[in-house]
Order: sequence, then C-alpha cells, then structure tokens
Amino acid sequence: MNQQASDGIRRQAAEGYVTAMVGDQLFGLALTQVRDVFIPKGICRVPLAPPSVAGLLSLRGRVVTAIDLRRRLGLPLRGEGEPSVALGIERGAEIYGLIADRIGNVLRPSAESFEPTPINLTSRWSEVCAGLYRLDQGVMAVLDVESLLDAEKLREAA
Amino acid sequence: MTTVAVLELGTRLFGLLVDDVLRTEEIVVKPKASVLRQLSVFSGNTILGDGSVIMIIDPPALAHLAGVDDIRRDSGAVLAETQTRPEEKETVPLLLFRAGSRSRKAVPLALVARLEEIPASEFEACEEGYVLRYRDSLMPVLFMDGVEKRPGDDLQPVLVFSEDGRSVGLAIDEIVDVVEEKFSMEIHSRTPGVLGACLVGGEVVEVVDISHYVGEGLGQRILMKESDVARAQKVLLVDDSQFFRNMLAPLLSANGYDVTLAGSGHEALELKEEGWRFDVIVSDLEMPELDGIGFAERIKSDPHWAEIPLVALSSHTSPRLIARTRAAGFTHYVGKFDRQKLMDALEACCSRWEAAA
Repeated sequence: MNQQASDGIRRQAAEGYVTAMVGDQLFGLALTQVRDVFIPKGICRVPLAPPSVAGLLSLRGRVVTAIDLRRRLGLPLRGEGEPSVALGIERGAEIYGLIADRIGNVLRPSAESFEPTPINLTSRWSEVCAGLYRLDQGVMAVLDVESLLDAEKLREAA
Repeated sequence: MTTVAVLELGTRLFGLLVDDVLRTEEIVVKPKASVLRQLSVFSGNTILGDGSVIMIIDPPALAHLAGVDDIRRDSGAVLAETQTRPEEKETVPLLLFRAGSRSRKAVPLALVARLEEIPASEFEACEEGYVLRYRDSLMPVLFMDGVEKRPGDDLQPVLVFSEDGRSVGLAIDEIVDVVEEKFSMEIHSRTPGVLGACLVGGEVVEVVDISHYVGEGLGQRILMKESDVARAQKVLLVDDSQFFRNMLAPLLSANGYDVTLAGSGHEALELKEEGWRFDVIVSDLEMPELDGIGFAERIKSDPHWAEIPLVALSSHTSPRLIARTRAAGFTHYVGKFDRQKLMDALEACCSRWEAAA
C-alpha cells in the first residue's frame, strides 16, 4: 500500500464505517459517505435499465436511484417479503440507495487490520471492493462506490 | 374499451395505447441519474404530489424506436443526440419559474445546485435578512423581488446555488418547468438582477442574472451598471468551473459578445491549433493541470495568438499575483464576481484591438 492510500484508510478507519450485510457478507461504507439509512419503499421500476438498478424512489423530495447489491454482486435474489435496507449516498448532484439485507453497527476497525482486495475473492466482489478488514467476527469488505456505480460495469453486471 | 393518448409531435399525430388516463400534472422533469443516461426513451423523472416517482417518456425517442425519424422536433423536446457531445450542444436546459409576477423567469438549470421546497416557518429572520438551517450550516435565503414569505408551514420553493461549499437560497413563488432551449438573448435588460429576455416555446421569459443574487448572498455585492457594448466581438472564456462558465456566458452574450467556452487551458489551446481566432481571451487563473499563467505563456509563444489581449479572472487579489499575471502577458486583472470591471476590461481590450487593426 502506498503512503497516500494508507493515510486514506487510517482516516476512514478512525471515522468509522457504516456496515451492512448482503448475502452472508459484511461490508462497510465510509461513515462520511453515507447520507442516510432507510427502508426502500415505493420503488418505481425503470424499464430497460441495467438489472442492478432496482428503480427510483423519492426520499424527502429527492429522487433516489436504488441499486440492488444482490443483483450487482450476482447473488441469489431476495424473496418476497424478505427485509431490505438502503444506504443513501450522494454522488455529485445525485443520490443513490444501495439496497442490502440488514444494517449493522458503525465499526471503527484498526487501520492495521486492513488488507488490499485478495485475489481469491469472486470477480463480482473484487470489482466493487476497495479492500477488507479482518475483524474478530469475520471479514468486512469496504465498498468502492465509484466502481460499484460505474455505468458500464452496471450494464455488464446483468 | 381502449384508451388512446394522442400525442402531437411536430406536424404528426401519434396514438399511445394506455390502460387508463389518470390526470394531468404540472411537473418539473428532473434529469436522469448518470447510470440511466443511456435510456433515451425517457427524458427524466419526477416526483408526483403523492410522493411517488415516475419516469417521463420522451415521445420523440418513442417515435424513433418506431422508425419515424422525420419529425420536426418541437423546440421544447429533448434532443438525445445533442446530449452526447457537450461541446456541440446548442441548447441549454433552462429552469422556468415564477417569482413576484405572472411572467415566467428563467435561469440555466446547470447553475442551480438543488430545487427545494421548505416550510416557510423554517426561515429565520436576522439582521441581514433570512437564513435557513440547511445541511448542518446556515444558508442565507434571499427573496426575489415581489416574492412574499408564505405563512406558517406552507412550502416555499427555493433555488439553491452553491459554489466553493457556500450555498445561497433564492426564494421564489413557483417552479414551472425545465426545458431545453437555444439560449439567445432577444432583449438586453438594464434592470439589476435581469440579464434580458428570450423566447421559450414562443413565450417571452425573463432571464435572471443569478450572479446579482448569488454574489450578494455570498457577501460580495455586485455593482450593476448597464453596458452599452454591442459589437459581436469574439470572446474566448476559459474556466474550469462549470458554475462560472454558466454564469459568465449569458452575461457576456447579453452584452453583445460572441462567446466560446473552454473548460481548461488545454481545451483552449486545441482551439488555437484548429485555427480559431478571438478578439479577446478571458481566462481563470486557478485551474488544474495548466493554470492561467502557464496558459498565457503558451499563447504568447505562438505568433497566431500572441497579439490577442488577455484578461485574467481570479478570486484572489495579491499584488504579487497581479505582477505575475502582468509578466505573463495579461493586460487586465478582474475579480471573479466583479462584472462591471470585467465589462470595462473587455471594452478596453476590444477598442484597443480595433484601433490596432
């Protein structure tokens, strides 16, 4: 890891991560990236959109583009009535809602437990993973939002 | 029974089979999220009164899917292909709204950071006017002339403008629409806060000079004086900030200049290589990669552009910086919000240029 990246990780680790589960994987988003956490409701499907785009919904007067992380990661889809939660992130003037299964705690792991993305991760995960932390309760993947929302990769992730 | 929505596009009529017609709504089409930009069938989305989100179908794109391409598009229609290359885009999205009077007002949508509707009770009066707790900080809110603060908790539409992390809210009466329009100022105004008037879909709208309000809101009061410059002098404006390009371009064209925009020094140098000629170049000093001073040095080393007068735009003023810009070949140095000084500088440059020619 170069110095700049490790400073970034140190800062993120100190500020903390909002964690959530998707499938059986714990993942985290830098606390400062997350705008709100909400239950996705009233999603308007968008015909012809990339499959990972669950649709649009309104959150306090703003339009949120909802991304289904299960689809984005090629995991089995959520059944009818199974709970879901969305993490709202702001990107430029747009808000995206990343739909996961269950929200977790805010974690402040020690920067020393950070590791770059290992090569044995499935390709879908490695595409959207900026590295991971080895914690007592398992591994937490750090999501790389830019890569996750890359329009071209979204279209490919059918 | 079957219900058909009859669509009129240019001179042709189309029928769209639908299950049911619910109602008509006055809406603002919000732009598509970047991950959905490929979907030309939709021009955007909107939030309805009940809070639900719907996609807005773009009828010309539907007609295109149906293989009908000879439609003379209405000026209000979104031209999907003009969106692909921004530098060739001729139309600009304009936000139409009402404030104070029945006549419609317009502002380039790109200047607006956010459209909000805020309960009027949240505006707090202070010595300078109104402020609003907005995203963990205080934002000044200015009421456009004639706009009344709504009573109680009634929602007041507010246009939010942001630059360098600072925001200013402009309270208005009603958001009307967003349209794609060729931006050509028909009449230039002498009223402070108004750039002029242009035609949108055959109706006259007043183009608001946001710099008048934003500059004021940011504590940099702008001296407005009408300018009588009215020659089609060619100005190249180089600025990496979309905000300033959007703010200055209408101002310059309102004052009779023929404006070309470049988002960086390199982009401007490409124009040089392509053989473009300008009467005057206005360049921002603080730009990534190639800054204004480096850009000026490159220009001065090429005989084709070496003689073009250069005006520096900067948000900083230090005697040392001014001396450096002079040494690099800039003839004038103007603060970014000082529109009168910019107009004076341009006029001085252009008349000098004419005298020399």
